[in-house]
Amino acid sequence: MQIDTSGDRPIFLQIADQIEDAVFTGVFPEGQQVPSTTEISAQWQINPHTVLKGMNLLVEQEILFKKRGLGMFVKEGACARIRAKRQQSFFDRYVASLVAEAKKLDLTREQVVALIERGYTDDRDTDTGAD
Amino acid sequence: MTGIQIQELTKRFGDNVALQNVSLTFQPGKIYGLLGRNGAGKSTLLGIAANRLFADSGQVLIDGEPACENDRAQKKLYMMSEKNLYPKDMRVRDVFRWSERFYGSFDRQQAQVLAQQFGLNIKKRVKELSTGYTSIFKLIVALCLDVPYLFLDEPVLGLDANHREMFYHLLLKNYADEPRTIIIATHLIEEVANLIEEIAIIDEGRLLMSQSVQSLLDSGYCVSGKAGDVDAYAAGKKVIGEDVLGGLKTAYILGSCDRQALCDSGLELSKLNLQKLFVELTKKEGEQ
Amino acid sequence: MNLKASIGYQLRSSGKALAIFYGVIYAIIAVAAIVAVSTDGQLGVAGLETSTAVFMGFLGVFTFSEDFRFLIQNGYSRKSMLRSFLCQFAVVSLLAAAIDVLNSRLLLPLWGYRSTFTQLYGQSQLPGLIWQLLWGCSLYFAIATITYFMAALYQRLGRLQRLLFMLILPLAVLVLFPVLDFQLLGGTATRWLLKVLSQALGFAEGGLQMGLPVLFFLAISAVFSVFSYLATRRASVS
Repeated sequence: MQIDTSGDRPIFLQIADQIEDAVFTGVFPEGQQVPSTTEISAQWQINPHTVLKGMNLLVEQEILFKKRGLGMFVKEGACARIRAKRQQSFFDRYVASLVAEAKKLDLTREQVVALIERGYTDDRDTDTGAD
Repeated sequence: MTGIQIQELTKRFGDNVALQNVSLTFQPGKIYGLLGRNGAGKSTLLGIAANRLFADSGQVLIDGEPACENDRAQKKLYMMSEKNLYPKDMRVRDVFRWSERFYGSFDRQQAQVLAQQFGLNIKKRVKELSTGYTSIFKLIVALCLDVPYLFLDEPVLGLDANHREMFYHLLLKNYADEPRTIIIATHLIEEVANLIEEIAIIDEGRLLMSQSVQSLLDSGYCVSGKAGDVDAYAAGKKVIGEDVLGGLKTAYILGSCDRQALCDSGLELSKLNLQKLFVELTKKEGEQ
Repeated sequence: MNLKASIGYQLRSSGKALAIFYGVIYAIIAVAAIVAVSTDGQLGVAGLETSTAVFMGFLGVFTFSEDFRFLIQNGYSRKSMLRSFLCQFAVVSLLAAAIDVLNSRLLLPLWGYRSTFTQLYGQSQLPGLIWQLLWGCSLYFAIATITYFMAALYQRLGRLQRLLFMLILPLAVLVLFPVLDFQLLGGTATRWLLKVLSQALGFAEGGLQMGLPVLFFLAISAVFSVFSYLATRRASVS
């Protein structure tokens, strides 16, 4: 887990992101307990309230839930929810900055589309084992 | 528990005004960063609250009671500072024993565990310890004492990088398990920036600001890019500091960010950095 | 408050010092006894109370220099500390005086040991023992409070003032005063002072008045306890 202290994204959001990633990639399977606020706070040297804020955000988004006296667990259906959420924000997160960067580099729209096509082709090739 | 109230505290040492009418509240159960440059007045402030020295005027209240010469109030707090007030011939394990006798609740078992973790030989006498280990034994006392108010004045001076990390780790674990008021006075802002919830800045004996870290970071932002673009964007805004490197400029601005204008300008946005903010606010004439 | 804890701590640390002190004293006595027995003569040791008085003096100083800081670190107010110190001084004084009485009466008359008290006031039976105890206890208590106050005062003084205190003051009292007195007043002031002092020590016109020295020492203790409070009530810890 990496925390970027100088960028724009508030720490509690970064924590939420990273836990969400871990859930999405299966590091924390659905139904299992995630590390406690205390553990995360102590391990990464971040104030527990900040950590809690991030985790509560995930509770709000129904990715985690709190079992009283035991801690935070991954909610059933969390992966599906994360996928839906990220599909929604795909444009803001990736496409908008992609276009902005492309403009900076003076790439035309056609060039960008071609690059995207290439992205899928390369991907298919690796899938089939071609070089 | 109502916290610690500092009310119009003033303290002079001869001609030097160490504290100038400082008023500040420390709410219960939060980790505070009391930040200031060397000689700003942080230690004086904490020293007065901990009954080590006397203010010229003003008072300190702990849970509503005056802190000065008050056993009941003083038993609620423990101050860890560079000054060693422990008898030089006392062995560390006896320090633990007497801390328990004096305060009534001290986790001696935990203290032994921590001493082992830090590599501290508790049979040693205080005078035999290095600077680092003198800090460490006091930090262990601070962590194992069950008092609602902890003052840590430059806690990691003399500690190597490993021990520093260990300490922050243990401090947060201790706090997360049982929250209490912890005031860390330091000039090492980068190190504590993520630990603290609230920040108070003291400069030349005056309180510059006291607010939550979140609200401070929300109160402004940084823009960087070509110097001309930055100047254009920043015109009319409250700029509290600037960094220039060749044609690149970074401006630190207070106020809410006009994201649209920012997007259009092509400038890069980032959040305020506590250390940078602190340096800008406490810069003196002639300093870079 | 927790005075029990602070008194407990101080008795422990001064108890250790007391044990070492008396260890040394008894070692000296043992050697002197062996010499006396082998030469079939008198014990070469006398007036051990003076050593105890010096010990009490050091106790007062150490209590200020070490215990004061330690108790501040552990949340004690200066008021509570002073109360605790006075209790400690009282207990140690009583203990030391009791040992002195024991020495002068039981252990050492065999070899002709004469304690300071005996040298001043002579031997006597039971009521005299109680007076001896009170005398020693109040004297030691007074000494401890005096040196505690001096240590507290010393800490508050600047360099120049300390010089004055350590050099000029004793010189003035021990040299200047008598010299001036003898030159200008023919020595009346010194004579008067010595007379008052001897009365305070119990040598009254009609015979020994043991109540006087005890009262005298207790009065000194009270005065210096107050002075100590005044000297430490605003003392900062560094």
